[in-house]
Amino acid sequence: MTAADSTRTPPTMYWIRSERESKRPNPAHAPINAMYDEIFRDLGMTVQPISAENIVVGRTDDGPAVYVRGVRVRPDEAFFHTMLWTWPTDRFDIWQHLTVYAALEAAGYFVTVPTLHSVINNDKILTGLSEFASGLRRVPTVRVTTRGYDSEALRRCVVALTAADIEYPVIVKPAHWGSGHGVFVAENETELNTVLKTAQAAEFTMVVQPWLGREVTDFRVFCIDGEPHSTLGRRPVGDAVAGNLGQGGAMSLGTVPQVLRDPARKVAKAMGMPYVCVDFLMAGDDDWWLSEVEIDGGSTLDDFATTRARFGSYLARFKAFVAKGTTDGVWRFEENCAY
Amino acid sequence: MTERQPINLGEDMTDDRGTEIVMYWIRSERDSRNPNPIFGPMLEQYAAAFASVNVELRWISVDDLVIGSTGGKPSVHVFGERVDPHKAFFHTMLMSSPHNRIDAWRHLTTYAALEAAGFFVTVPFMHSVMNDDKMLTNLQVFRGAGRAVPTVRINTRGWGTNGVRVDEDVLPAAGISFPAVVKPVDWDGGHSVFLAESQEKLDALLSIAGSADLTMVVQPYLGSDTVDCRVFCVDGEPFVMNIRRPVDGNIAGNVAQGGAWGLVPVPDELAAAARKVAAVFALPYLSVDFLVAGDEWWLSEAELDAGSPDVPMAAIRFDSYRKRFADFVRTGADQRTWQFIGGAQ
Repeated sequence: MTAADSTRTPPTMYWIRSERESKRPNPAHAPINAMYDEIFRDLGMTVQPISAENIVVGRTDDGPAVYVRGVRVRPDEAFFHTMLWTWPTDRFDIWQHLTVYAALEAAGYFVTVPTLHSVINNDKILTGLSEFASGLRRVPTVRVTTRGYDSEALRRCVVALTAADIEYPVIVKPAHWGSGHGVFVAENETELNTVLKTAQAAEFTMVVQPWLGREVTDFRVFCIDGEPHSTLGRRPVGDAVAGNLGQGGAMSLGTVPQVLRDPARKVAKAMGMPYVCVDFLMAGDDDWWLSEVEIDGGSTLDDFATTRARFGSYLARFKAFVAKGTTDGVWRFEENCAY
Repeated sequence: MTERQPINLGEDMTDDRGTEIVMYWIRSERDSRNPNPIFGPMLEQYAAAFASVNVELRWISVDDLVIGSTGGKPSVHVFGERVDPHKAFFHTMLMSSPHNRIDAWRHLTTYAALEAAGFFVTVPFMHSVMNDDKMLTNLQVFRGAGRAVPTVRINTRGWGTNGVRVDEDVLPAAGISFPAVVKPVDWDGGHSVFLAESQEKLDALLSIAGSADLTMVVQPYLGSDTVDCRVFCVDGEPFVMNIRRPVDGNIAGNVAQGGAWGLVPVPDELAAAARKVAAVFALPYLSVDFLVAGDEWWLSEAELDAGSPDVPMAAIRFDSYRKRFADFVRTGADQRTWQFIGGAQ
């Protein structure tokens, strides 16, 4: 099938939803879902929310075969939105989701967020450690696991904080959450110890960072095909620590500050994704840090244009994928071979 | 079957081993502090193998690792001590058996963080995913290594109990008829390999598997005369094969299921196929499993972290890690094991 042929029927995007809401969407998401539906109609896409267990992967004489709810889907007619959820309610399902994404990739289907990227996306320290962040000022971060946390674990954490030149007060938060949930400012070692001790109840991995103050603005740079597109500025309100909208932060949509354009582009191009968000913390025009990448950064209810660009980028990349040949997977071991 | 063949350890087993290095073995969370006694004999073998290749082995848990930065550069602390990427590496063998399931995410992200921090890991995290889902070997095209066992992969959450079923045409489309083998996609050791004689038995088994949201694979039963041939490869080159055969009516020939086994030279045809698979993974050590029935054979799966049956084999395995680590240090400790690929337009 050629790229032109692929436009004969509207492509279907199967959105693999959280196992915890795949059959009964959370009513809190209704407004954003209504905006998504409008955009999908506008783009000429068919979107079906599904669960991982709606997918059966097998094969037929002509190669790998993927079935969704018992119906075979073809890689030139459909693709999958593979946005890993790492909220506490989704924790049990992570392995199942990651391997489903990998199976879809290996079967020759286009996925919006490959397995490899999902891991980078959902552990906050990985942005700072990654090659694409080299040369950019990053927020110093220490990552600690908390299973069996005790006084010796605190000692090891303090050793690493000292080595990283992180002083109190510090931010301590889960390594794989988002939206500003669970962000705590520890004024001293006693408070840090208490938070880490509590986190061990769920064996959470936590990150510790310097507290940069309430005057810092969190700038999310939306990038489409590696190019900075627009920004969402977020600032904490009142006594809140995080400026995320989920925490009642004040938001402002706008153009990308000039000083952030090149850093965002560098990160986005390295990721090679149709859509990616790059988060920065800014204390002044020339005083900024790379915070993290949010490959699947959610859309803002008031931002129809960026959201349309987001889903339009998935569609365009899918069409390019079809044009190149559906056997061209998203990852390849061969290209990583050093031997 | 049980007669041992001599193994050529190779002349380079004795070279460049003057500098003692440390391998941190990140163990299962469920035995990192209280090792399972059943592993005692195997671990004694491993200790002897490590001693013979001049690598110091230290067992750790992911909880013993703290990852941060020092002077703006990545730094990794183990037990509170900073680790030098030129002097130590990490054995990152993901355990996906049921009691380890809840830890998979913590392990995978820890492996990724170690890679990103510039450390050598024996099994990169993307390879771990590949290793622990049997379907992925099957779907990947290993440069024409051979035909794969027909396989259908099914998530069982809500199977039967919540109306989830698979259309009856899916198995025939894959060339699978009854009796069919059904087993968890991410287990090993031949555990829970079941032979379903009928659709009804398959449905019942998938329904039970649904109690744990297990992902299962269904494959054709190739007969009781089928043997499982594991080809061990070092640096991409096959060097010995372990033939495993089910005994006493068992379905699986794995050693853990009481199967008969024996090490033999690798037949040319399987060596050529294994070489192609090993070249794709590019790991210092891995094994490639084949199912052989008479003159017919199928590629079964790659086992990147397959256990070693005796001290000489273990020594070869661990020495391959050590040598690859030495190469890694020579080529620069900041070299990444993974990178983003294929997505850029």
